[in-house]
Amino acid sequence: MDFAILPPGLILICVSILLLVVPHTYRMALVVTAPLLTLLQIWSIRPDMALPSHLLGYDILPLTIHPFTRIFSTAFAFAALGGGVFGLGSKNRYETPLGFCSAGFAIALTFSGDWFSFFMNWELLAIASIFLIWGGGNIHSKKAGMRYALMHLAGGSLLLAGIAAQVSITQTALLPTFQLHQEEWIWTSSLFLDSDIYMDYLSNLSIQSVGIWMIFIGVLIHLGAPPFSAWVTDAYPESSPSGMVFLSAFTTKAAVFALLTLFAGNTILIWIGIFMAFYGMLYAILENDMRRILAFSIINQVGFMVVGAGIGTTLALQGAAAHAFCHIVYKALLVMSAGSVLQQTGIRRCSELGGLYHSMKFTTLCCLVGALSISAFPFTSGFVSKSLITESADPLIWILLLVASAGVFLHAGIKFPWFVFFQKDSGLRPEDPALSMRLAMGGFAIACVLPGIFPQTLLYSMLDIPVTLEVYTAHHIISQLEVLLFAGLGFFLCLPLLKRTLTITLTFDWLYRRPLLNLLKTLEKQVNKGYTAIRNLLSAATQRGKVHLMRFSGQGGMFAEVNTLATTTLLLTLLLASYLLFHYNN
Amino acid sequence: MKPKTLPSEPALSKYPRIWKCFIIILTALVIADVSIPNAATAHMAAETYFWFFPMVGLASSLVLIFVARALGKLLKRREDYWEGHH
Repeated sequence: MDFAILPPGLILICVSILLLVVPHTYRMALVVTAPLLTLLQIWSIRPDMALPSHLLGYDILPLTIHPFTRIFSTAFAFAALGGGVFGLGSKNRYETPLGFCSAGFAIALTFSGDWFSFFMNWELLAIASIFLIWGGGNIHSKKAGMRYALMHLAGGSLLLAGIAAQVSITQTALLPTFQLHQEEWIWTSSLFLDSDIYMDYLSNLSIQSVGIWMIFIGVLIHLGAPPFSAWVTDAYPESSPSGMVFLSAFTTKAAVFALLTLFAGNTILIWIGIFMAFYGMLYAILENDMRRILAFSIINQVGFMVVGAGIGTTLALQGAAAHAFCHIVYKALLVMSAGSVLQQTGIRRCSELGGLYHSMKFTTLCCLVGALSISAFPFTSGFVSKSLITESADPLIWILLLVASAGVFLHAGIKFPWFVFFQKDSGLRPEDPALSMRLAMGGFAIACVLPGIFPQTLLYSMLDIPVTLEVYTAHHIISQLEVLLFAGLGFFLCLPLLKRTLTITLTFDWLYRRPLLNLLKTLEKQVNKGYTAIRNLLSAATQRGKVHLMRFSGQGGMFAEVNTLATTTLLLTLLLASYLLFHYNN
Repeated sequence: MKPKTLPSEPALSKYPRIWKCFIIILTALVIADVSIPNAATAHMAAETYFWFFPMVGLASSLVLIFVARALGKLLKRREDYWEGHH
């Protein structure tokens, strides 16, 4: 049997089971080889290896290659490798296996060619993520995991209902696919939201149009798009240091993949993406918890990808996919550096940190590389991928993305490393973390820089169509540096205004954690009252019925009397006679 | 691990050398921008002016910080806000 024809992601899922039973000495070998074998498998699968099959009378394609399958699955395998190595120092035995499961399902999702396998992998990824959040091991992580589960249950239900509508109308379970073209991007059968076909759907308000909207909202929930974004910042920071490395890579980026595959080119996405970029940025500026800063930053960065999906040209879609790849790497690096600080100090609040560069030099260096990459500094991966998106935008969107880029440098490029590693000296002198953690951080720091220097070889080669844009022009490099460094000047000028406070910031989750919860509690009280009233009513009626019944069948009642044979015979005769009469009349 | 000392937060102005380097780099960038024409690749007319990108960077930064502060007044709560409300 050909190695490549194994279901993608299966190696990681199988190894995750093995990791639960093998001794610690063999874990390192498994943690390194499984993602590398998966990478080999991903790149060995050819488009002609599709595995057509049948399920419930429908044709299904559990193995197919979409335009962005390779780049996303490669990023997921990399994240599994990095998270696995970083997690070797973790005491929690279940975390890396769960992370590998998540990676396996995320990879399988990118190869899904039909709704059944897509939905199954989508949900299994969400379930594995819930357990990763619970791996945080405290009461906050348990509650946050439960809220995450509820949110994704809602998203999954909507997605399932939408898929059911879509499959029943179109009579096909195959995912709509589109093809990229060098000159011009065209749809073949992608789902539409704001095209003429969509308008036609909407005017008829057909089940299919409702179904497509349900799928769309289901994907948005997974994406962390406001107002469904609270789960990202609520749940991710409550996981363990290595748990968040896995979490930051899979769920939202799997949703970006779904968006690129199903809804590319819908202009509504541009505005959703812009809102996400600014929302994540403003909240990250306000935040005091370093892990929540990074969680808000995920929403911000996913916003850039959503804009690319919305623009819908070949270059923009390539930019969105490339940005997802780069984001997985540099966000994992930032999360690792924050996780190292958390592990070594036990502190998450920026207000209690500072001056850690004195003793955590390696972590500081890696964090700075990640911070420069997320800020799209020239010669980092973020610069290349973000440029592909911004350069494909029209002037209004371009200027908004430029402002958003300055904001990214503000919160993730300067604020996070400045308050954690520099600024005031907190007096804390923790050491750099264990060797495995340093290896993971070092590897990912290199992976942030090399694709920025050699984009053709290490980034564009993962895309189906060659990228035509030259990002390294003198003017582009200088203008980008100007925007970022002058934004930095603004940060330092306003430093007294950015005083850290021991506060949290309310997000959209306030709506369902306060007013909606109060409404539900009130409803529960009313329902309980109604239930008690009905129960009392029924109880009283039963009592009355019982009293009446006892009159006839109780002691001294008519039916309780001992009748003679003659009386009984007479009663039965009368009963039979009345039946005959009734039957005769009919 | 408890903090040993908590001195007052130093401003960057306490490091004049860093400030000087920073200002020199910013000035060099503006000079480089002036010397490189970009009319061919410009997205909008204003982009051709040398002050465009520095102004976008600085203004974005200041506006975002002030907007965030205004939002903070509305949205910031004590850390124990959610305690007992799950």
